[in-house]
Amino acid sequence: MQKINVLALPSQSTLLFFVIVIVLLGSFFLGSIGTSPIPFLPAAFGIVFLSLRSFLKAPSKRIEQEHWRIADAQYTPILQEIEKFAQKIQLTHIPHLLIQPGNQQRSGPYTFGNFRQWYIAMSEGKADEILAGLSNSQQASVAQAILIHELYHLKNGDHWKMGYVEELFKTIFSLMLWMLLFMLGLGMLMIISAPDILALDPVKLVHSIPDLSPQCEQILLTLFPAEKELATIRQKAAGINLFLVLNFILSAILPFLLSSATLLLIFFPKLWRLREYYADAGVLQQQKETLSLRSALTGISRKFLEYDISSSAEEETPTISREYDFWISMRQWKEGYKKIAGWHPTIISRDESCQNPMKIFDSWQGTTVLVGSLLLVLDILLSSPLTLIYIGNFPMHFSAIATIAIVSVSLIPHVVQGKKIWTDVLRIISGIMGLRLVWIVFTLLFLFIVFLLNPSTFEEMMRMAIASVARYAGDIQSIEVPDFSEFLIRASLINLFQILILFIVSIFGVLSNLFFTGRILYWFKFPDLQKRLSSLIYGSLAANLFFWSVGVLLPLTWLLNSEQTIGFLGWGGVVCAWLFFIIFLVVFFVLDRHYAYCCNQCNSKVPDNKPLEVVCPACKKQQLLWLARDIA
Amino acid sequence: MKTSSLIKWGDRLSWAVLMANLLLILAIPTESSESDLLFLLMILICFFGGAIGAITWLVIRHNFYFRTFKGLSSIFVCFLLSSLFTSSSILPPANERLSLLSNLSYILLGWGFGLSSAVFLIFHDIGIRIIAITTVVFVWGAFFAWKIQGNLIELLVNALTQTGQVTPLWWLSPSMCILGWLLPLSVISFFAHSVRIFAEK
Repeated sequence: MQKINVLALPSQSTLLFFVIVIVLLGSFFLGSIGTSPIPFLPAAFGIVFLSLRSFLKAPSKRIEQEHWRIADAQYTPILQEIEKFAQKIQLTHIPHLLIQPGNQQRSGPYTFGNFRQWYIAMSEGKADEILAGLSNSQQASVAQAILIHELYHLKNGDHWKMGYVEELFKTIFSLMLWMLLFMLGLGMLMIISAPDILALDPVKLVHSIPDLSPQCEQILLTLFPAEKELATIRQKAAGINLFLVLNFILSAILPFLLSSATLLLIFFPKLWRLREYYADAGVLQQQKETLSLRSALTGISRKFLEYDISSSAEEETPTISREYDFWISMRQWKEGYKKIAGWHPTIISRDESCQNPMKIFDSWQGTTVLVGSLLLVLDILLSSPLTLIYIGNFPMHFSAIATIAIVSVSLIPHVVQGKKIWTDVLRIISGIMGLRLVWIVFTLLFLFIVFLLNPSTFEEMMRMAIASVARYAGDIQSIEVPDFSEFLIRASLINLFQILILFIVSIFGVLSNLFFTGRILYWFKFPDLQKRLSSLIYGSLAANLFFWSVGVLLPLTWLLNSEQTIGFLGWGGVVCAWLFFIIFLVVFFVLDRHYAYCCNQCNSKVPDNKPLEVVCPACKKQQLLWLARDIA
Repeated sequence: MKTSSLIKWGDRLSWAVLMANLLLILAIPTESSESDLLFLLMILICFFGGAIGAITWLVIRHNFYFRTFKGLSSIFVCFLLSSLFTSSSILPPANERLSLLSNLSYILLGWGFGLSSAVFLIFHDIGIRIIAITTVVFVWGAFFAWKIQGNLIELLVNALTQTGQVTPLWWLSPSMCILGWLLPLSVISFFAHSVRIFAEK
């Protein structure tokens, strides 16, 4: 089977970047549910602005703080190599080389920057080592591999993806800290001032001041709120207590804490690891061999690795050198942990992915854990029995859309290889929904046990759940639940049915996405397919997501929750989604008929083999040559 | 005349105007006829404009000092001390003359603090941090004030009507002055720096 060129496929790191950004912002939006003294919605736009601002500012700040200097004439050979390869891989900007003078440690190189300022930074010690490598004909390709690796980070946009996500985390953490302190202060102020506000009588207060003229009294009275406004303030003051304040702060901050913990522990390290694999793939694409990169990764000389390969070829057993073997075994115990949560990929896994690019992509178990962990957190926040009030509302769609998108993109490499993917889809979606089901069943069981043993405690729990969204000042009039037992049964049934709906919709959503992707892979005659493949796949993915979320999920959930009123806008959205999808289907199949299974050279019909193995019988041209890795 | 010597003359003039203000206050007779007092007050008002100008000149001239945190904090401390002398019940002014002196210095230092904050915020992009810190300090300050001093609404109404007496809300005026300077300046600085960053990058 031919090995795939991962750089020709939609980037998994881009997908992860968007997942992290959307979930982080989404969990911040969650804090806006209910009445709040903080304008969350403008704050969320503020976060986007602030993080973008910090991201733009970060490179200059970092250069100043870490005392980086632009490389001088001494490093001309490195600069020349950077310029040469930057032009070769068609970078839009030539990056600046930064050196940390006096630092003899071999730290770096690494890349950072923003949209227009690109930097490759390394210590003086490392720069000297690369200089020495470039001047040595034996080691020149190893030094070049290091530089090409860094240039591919810039080519893949890792500098802005990592830089922006880092600044987004920092911005949201700072904002959360501010919110915690501010809201706690505001809540305590409201609690302490509540008795005085309740007892406040402006007329009496003004009359109690001695020697005050009637005009002055009138002026003073205008400073107080009108009687109606004062009554509202009094009502809120009567409802406020410490529990409500703490409950509000917790429910506003908890979504962010949980989701950011998952993203920081699982998704962000995964993004860090993925970018390295993609940069390695770039090196292999440029150098057309693996030895230089392997030498750069392991520190073992290229000559030694060459000898190792030639000796193993003679023995006809693919073994690696003893030195390398010992080195690997010493680090073996760390591998398990690092594979899941390590911030940097292990050298062994990078070496393996050099040999087999499919190692970059997760197995079905890996995808299940990755997506399942995120969705479990979202479910705990969005559709747990503690937020039963929101049954049938938008939150459930968010996690379903995320599932369809992530799973679809994760399985694209398998589609390219022509593997049957429906079993993987079934396993992954079952795993993800299984986690969700276990969570829901356990919490529902817990609630039912509490209800059967002690109904009053159950009622108290539900009131607490309602209070968590009623927020400040006990504003619970808007959410009325006359019969808690009936509410529990109805909400439980809806929650369980939701999982069934999500399961079916997710499976059909992913399968339809992969069907369209699979068809696009046979559009050999499509103009400039090599450059447009990712755009075509993303386009069909977006159209599918719109249809499955608005056209299918929305009406199905409305059917579940009969009490929900659906306005003109809601039904209008559904009709739009269906119309849009019909137009999409027509356009897609017209294009499919025109471009699919036609040789891109002689226009004759080609057989229906696996995408990477399609060769034109007339002109003998392999159709998707660029999608296969052209090295051994 | 060279620019440097003009600047030196500007410095000297500014210090002279400030000194003249202080001396004038000390020279005001405590017991004088109503017409004399009015005349002296008129002169004082004229000089007051000069003093504001002098402070402005000195802060801009010595901006290299006020753009540092040390510079800003020193004028902040001076401002707080003058506010303590002016309106606190802890350190009441000894007599009318001293009272007038502390009031004048309070206003001048308040102006100076505002200007030096502006200078500081031109050179440091920390507007958003200042907004965050001041709002938190303000909310917690109000909480502790309510806890220690009791019903702030009543105290505020009393302070508004009984201007002759020393109010327990002596901290309110300097706090509002600090907030009044820092919040708008921070917002302006934040947006101005944002425009610069977006334009540059």
